[in-house]
Amino acid sequence: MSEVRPGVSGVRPGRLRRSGRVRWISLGVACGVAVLVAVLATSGPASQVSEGSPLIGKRAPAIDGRSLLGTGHVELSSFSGKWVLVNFAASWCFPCRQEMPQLQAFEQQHAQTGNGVILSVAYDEGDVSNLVSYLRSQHATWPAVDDGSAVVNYGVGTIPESFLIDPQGTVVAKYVSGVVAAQLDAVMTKASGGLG
Amino acid sequence: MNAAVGESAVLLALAGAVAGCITLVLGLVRGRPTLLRAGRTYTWVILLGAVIATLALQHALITRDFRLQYVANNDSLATPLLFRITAMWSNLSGSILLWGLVLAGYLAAVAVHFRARMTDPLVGWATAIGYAVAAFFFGLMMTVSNPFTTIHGATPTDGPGPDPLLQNHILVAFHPPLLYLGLVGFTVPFAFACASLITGRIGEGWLIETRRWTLFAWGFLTGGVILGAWWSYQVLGWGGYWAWDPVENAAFIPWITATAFLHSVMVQERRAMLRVWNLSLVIATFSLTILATFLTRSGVLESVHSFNNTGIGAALLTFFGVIAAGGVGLLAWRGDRLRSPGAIDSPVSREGAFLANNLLFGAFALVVLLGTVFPLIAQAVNGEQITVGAPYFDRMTMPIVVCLLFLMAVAPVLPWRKASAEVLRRRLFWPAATAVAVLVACVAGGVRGFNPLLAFGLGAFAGASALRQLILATRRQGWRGFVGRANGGMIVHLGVVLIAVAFAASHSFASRTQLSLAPGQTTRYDGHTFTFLGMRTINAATHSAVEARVRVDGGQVYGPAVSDYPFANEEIGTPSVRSRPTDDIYLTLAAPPAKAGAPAVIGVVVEPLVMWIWVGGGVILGGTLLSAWPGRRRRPTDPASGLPATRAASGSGSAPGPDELEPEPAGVTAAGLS
Amino acid sequence: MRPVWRWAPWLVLAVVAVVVLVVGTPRHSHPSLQAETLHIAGLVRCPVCEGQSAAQSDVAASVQIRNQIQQQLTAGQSQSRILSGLVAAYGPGILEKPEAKGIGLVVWVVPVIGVVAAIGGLAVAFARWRPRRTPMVNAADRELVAQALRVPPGRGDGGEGGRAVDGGGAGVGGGEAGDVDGR
Repeated sequence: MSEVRPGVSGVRPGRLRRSGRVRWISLGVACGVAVLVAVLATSGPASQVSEGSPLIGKRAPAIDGRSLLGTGHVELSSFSGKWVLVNFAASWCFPCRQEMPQLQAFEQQHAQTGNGVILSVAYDEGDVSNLVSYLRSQHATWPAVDDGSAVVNYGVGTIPESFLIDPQGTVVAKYVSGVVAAQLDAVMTKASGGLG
Repeated sequence: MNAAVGESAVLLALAGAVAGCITLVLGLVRGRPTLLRAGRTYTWVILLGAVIATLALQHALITRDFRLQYVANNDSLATPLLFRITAMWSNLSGSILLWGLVLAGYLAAVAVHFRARMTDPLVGWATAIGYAVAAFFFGLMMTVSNPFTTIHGATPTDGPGPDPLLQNHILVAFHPPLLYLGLVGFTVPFAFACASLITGRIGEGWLIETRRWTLFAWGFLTGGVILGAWWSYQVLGWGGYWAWDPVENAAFIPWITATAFLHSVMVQERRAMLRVWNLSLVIATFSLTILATFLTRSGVLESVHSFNNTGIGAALLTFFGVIAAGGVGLLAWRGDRLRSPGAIDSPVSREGAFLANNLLFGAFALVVLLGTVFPLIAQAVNGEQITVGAPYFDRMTMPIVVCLLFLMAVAPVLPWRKASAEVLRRRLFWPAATAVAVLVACVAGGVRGFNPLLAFGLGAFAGASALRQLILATRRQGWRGFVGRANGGMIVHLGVVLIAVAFAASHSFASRTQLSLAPGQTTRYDGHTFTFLGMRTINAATHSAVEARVRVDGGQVYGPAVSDYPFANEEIGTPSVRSRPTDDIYLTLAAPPAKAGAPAVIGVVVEPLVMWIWVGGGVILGGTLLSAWPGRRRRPTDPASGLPATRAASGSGSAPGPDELEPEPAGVTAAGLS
Repeated sequence: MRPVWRWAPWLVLAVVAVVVLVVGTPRHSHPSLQAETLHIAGLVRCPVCEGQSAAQSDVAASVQIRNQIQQQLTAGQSQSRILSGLVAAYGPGILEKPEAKGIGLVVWVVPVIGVVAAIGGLAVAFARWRPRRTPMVNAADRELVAQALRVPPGRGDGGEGGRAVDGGGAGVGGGEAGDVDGR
């Protein structure tokens, strides 16, 4: 029976060790919870997370497809040397309609100088014919193209979504929920100034 | 009028909760039984306030009192009565009131159940904690989430009604209340766990007091989660029922920890071990329900459920922090008293199986929690946008579920203490033989694929093992072989097996396509024929819809539709489902015809065995009820384990059934001493 | 019957199970183009909707993604190439399953570490419990056991449990209380 005794008298060190362990684990858990709370507290609402794009600073993906308003093909590369505002649109998209005056303002300003163009891209395959009549009704006579793969290659989510491409063919900026013509001009002048 | 009554009622409940909490704590600290008795009566004040506030809001919703902001935002002249009633939980502040009402109900139930023991410090502290939680929620209703805010200026004449997704299915009336009954129900075990730590009575007392409460809360939560899956299947139109959506996960994580607790409780009752672990599980479960509410209500995560209100987010997050810190602090404080006297002899034993079960459920909870909040963590660490979606959860939880199914087969036949290979060989033979027979039948029947076969085989193994236990129990005890915790638990296991098998089948063998059909055209897909009969326009009071008439297999006509709600931003697709025991045919209207006579695009998903998920849910609920059924109590003089000499002598011939794991001090002490 | 032979039925079951699983697992699968497209689209988030994959949703952006995947598959591109093309356009958030690199590694590794640590902890706990299993038996205990064993034979439940426990704890460990297998 003497082998058993140490087990009984060993209760006290065991208890101390045990309580120490509980406390250390508690401390660890508390730290984990604190980190979680801190992360959650600093997270903004999901809907306000800013929309970046991995394409910015990269060469703009090619756009090539049937012309919507004219005949033949429209290619993005044919506009090299000019600023291009690639605008993804659909006739059913209400914010796109609100954006239209800004696009028209941009077009008017740069049609004269010839340094910038808009290229509208159909966002919804099932909506192409409606989009054509919508664009016609808005006198939006700039190039428009039906290229489904462009929607994917530009990583387009919720429209309206636009990409500003500089004369060298690099994506400079992405705009969600509508562009503002004055803002675009500011970006263009700044970039041109920077280039000399 | 409604606003004034409602707001005063909320104030009444808040005052009752605060006053009750203070009275009880004073009584407990100073040791005054009169104060403890007085403290109990505040329960009725809280309940009265909550009921009046609920009636006021319901009255406002039903009579369309648009002076209330909540009614103006969530009700309309066209909304039918059912959805005017359910509008109470179709937005944030109303659902917080529902939470308060359910909590008040639970507090009242506690007061009634423990009416004879109000001066017991354990009950006193537990009630005080319940009051504190109630004070928090009624405080929310007074400040950041007031359902009775009135509109300044002109009263609107009409409103947009509830969210379109919340007014097109009857399940909306059942899923949220059931979920709340579950989530809020964990307040009771949490309060008793904290009370046991505060009073230092860290034995098994609190556990036994709250066992049935936990079981009921678990049952409600299970029902709520499964009804949620059903709702999402019937309403959302993507052909699935579980998307690992953050908010689904948020309710599922406490379910996982609660399930772990229901199992590990038995080790503590029987062997007086795992005390710290069980307390941690209860505290974690309740904290996670608060976290779930935060994730649902604050809009930090993208989800179909999010309500987008940051004011309440901060309050809920703070409350979560306080609960978690308080619980962990209490555990650390009482750590030295929580030393378990027992030891586990062998990993191959009932208690060893429960440990493995807890390990797996712990891993399950970790995976789901990590996956749910990880996008936020990544965003906070380096601003990277990361998605953690269904493929991640499927990949990570699959091995866990496979192990759990295996454990479900083996654990019920394991004896306590220690099992020998011989025991397993004999007891598991028929379940294993059934599993192999099912495997052979599946492969002979043309089922291919490793994962589904594994799931079916293990499901059959676990199911047969549970059936074996039930057959043995009924042979011995007659109808009592279905009641009590162990037997009811086996029925729950059968339900879980049904769900697991149906889940695996519908995941592995679903086929989806889109059929472009001109009116009158018939086509064949995956063994079924689909005839597009034409379109129909429906003009309901709340919305207009276009519906495709699709005849399936030459029989009944189904009507997948696209509805246009005047106040919604986009059109809402409404699926139409043909459910059969073998498979479900899930039809959606992917694209209505561009013009009359043009083809419509019909989305078709054929999913086998989906119906059995809902059947499994029903079986689980039935099993839960049977588990809570009061079993025959063992006489306290009988030892918990060993040869029951007294019973044998009585010559009844009925051996102690598995349901007689009813704990009692004598048994626990006996196990502890050995 | 020698103990080894008692396991023969189990061996048969195990062999049958393995054979059936091997037969039932298709080795060379040639999924149809549509199935493969949907499989890859299932790994991609729908960029517009919440909580759905590009395989499940019917919004325009998802339809375009599916079309693109199908075209690229037809052109003979591999799954990883198609997915990396999508990441280049949308960013890593487009993948439903985070890549196991950079911070995304955490979400894969932490659960594994957790499970391994828990198993390690349990192993340590069992190692500590083991020495204390030496039963403390005194004369009074022996008398109790002797008394219990004098219970008249013919009871179904005690038998199996008794045999199940090879001397673990004296008199305890009745096994699955009330199991009537022995009958």
